[in-house]
Amino acid sequence: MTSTEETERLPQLFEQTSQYRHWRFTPEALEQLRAANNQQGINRVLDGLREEAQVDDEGSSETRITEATNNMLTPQEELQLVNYYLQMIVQTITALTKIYREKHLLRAEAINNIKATAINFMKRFYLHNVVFDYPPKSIMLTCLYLATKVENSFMKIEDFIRPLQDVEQRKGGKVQTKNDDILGLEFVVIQSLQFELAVHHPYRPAYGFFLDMQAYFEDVSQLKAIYDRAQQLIDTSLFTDLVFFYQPSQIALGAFKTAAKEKDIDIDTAYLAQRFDAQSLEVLFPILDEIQETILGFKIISKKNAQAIDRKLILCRNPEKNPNSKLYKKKVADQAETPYVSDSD
Amino acid sequence: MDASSKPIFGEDINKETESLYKKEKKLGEGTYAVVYLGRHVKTDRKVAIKKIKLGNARSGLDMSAIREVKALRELRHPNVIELIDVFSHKANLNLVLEFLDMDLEAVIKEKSLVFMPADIKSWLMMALRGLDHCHKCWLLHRDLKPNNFLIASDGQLKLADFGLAREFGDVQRVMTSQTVTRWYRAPELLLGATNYSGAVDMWAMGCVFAELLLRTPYLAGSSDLDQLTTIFKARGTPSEDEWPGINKLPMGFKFEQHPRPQFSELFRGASDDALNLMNQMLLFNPTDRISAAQALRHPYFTNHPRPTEPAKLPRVQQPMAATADSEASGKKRQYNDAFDDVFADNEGGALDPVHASKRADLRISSPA
Repeated sequence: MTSTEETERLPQLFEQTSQYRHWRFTPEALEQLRAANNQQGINRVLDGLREEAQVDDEGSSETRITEATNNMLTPQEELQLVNYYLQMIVQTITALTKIYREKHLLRAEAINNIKATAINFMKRFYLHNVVFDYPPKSIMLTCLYLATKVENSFMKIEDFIRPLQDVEQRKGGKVQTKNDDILGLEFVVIQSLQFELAVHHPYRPAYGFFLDMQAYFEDVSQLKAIYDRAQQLIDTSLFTDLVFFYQPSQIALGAFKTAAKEKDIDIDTAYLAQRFDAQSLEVLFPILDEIQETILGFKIISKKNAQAIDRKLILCRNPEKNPNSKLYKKKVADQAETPYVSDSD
Repeated sequence: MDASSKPIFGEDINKETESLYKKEKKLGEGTYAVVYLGRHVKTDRKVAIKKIKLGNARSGLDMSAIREVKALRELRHPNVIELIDVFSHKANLNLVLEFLDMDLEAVIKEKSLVFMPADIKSWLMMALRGLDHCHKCWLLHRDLKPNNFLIASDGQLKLADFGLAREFGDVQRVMTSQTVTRWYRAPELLLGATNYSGAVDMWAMGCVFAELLLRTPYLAGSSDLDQLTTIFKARGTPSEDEWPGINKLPMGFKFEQHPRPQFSELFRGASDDALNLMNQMLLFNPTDRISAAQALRHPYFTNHPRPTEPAKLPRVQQPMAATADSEASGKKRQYNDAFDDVFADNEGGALDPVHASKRADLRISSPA
């Protein structure tokens, strides 16, 4: 994207993006952040339960607290649960696409961006939140709806939610998803994203590489096959933490290299060595290897696994954030009575 | 990073941001937002806080709020308004923007001011620099007009109001042609183009350039169809040679033939290099139209006279309080009649009529 003559003297455009400035981590820093997050989240749950004990006189608060303490999710469990619902984002958008593609509400070329942006929003969200406060099941839909807007594919909330309700009905259950569940969390989500909504994905650089590589390969159909496979690998990469470590173009190239290797085609000498000098390649190759390893090492989180964690989560939710808890209801009622000071002007 | 001193949770970060600013007084109100004069509590920096009302938005956060926040969070340039911070309070979105108390429209309309050629060159250069930065970041502004160029106290001109901005560059993605305030709308948009580029912003920029020279809007059509006629009368109806493929645009049909007038007669005071640049900005064929980066390298900017230093540019003398009061009373707001149909967010989705009527332009201050 930066190959025009006048941009070469300026800092790389990607370095000016919020994604580069605020959403990049070393693997160690990311792990530390999640651990600290989890620890503070646990403290909040315990505080919330103690506070609720004062509101709720039924049942033993001691039992609740002990139960919660014994079932607290680890940072790994939190992550697994979130990752499971990342997969659900893909399922949901696939379902929406089937319904709306003909009506032009969702255009085929927008789907990848919406999907990747929604996944990214959710990953970013849980760097600043814990599942004890906001279970991923509800956050998932808000992230997806917000992503449709951010990716210029606005649809009314009714259009977004109707197919989801239809599915719930077909499964024989009662309709559970409501407009307010999604919209009510929009501010919670957007503030956790620090209001930074522009997200860059590997799909576009991958397309750029595909075009560029055509000058180096005679057999374009073979290249097309690599490109198709690379896109699948990029789909997988979205579920990993690669987006926090590397630039979209690096992930795209890593996917290409992996795809080429699978098909026994050499792009290292045929393409990479032509396009990059030896010094750059020395830096690039370990990055591409790391990307390959992460993508190929990714494992889907099973429904069974997620359900087990979800069951534990019921016991360790923060009542302060749980709309069904007595503490939450009391706080909402209290808040309605106090006027907002700075709005009085 | 010390986890105990810096908040981790989204809502705590938001509260911390909110606590950094205090609102001092209301500067203006539209149906879509209220603007306050505010200050940073520690640095005492003067800021404008634009509170976007979302109380009755049926589908949650409004598209223009999303577009504005999305674009401004990425852009950092001396000629683009700075979005300093964002925070939410209940169902309100608050944009903390740099405080700018004047816009180019007010300056153009203040007939007691005399513009020297060097002044016009200076404003145009700053505007093009800001726009060039947007286009390099693959963002279209899509609503350039004199009152969206704000002017800082040091004279720097800044692009503002990114409520229609979006990214571009992907030929497969359809964009709406219902964008840009009519008088500044490029001919390809008027003909219904759904794939376009930075050239639409450059057309608007050409119109603003002409307006700086004329001190009145150059292509003021009274309806969408009349807009094209107005353009053809002023610029001559384009031939197939000039704009190959003009007949292939959606909704395209035969137009009345108007001869090309002598531009130097209308723009009497303008130098040849100024006219040459303006004409390149107003070429019919979007692919021939000059880009912001190319325009900045046009001889106009290196020829004599040198652009005026921003601090020495003509300014409108207007006490803030007076305009703020008149705006707050709700009567003073000036809409030009080209504004009515500017809002559209129906790319790939149905246009929500509530949004269309809700969107209102809002200046921090308006011409006295």
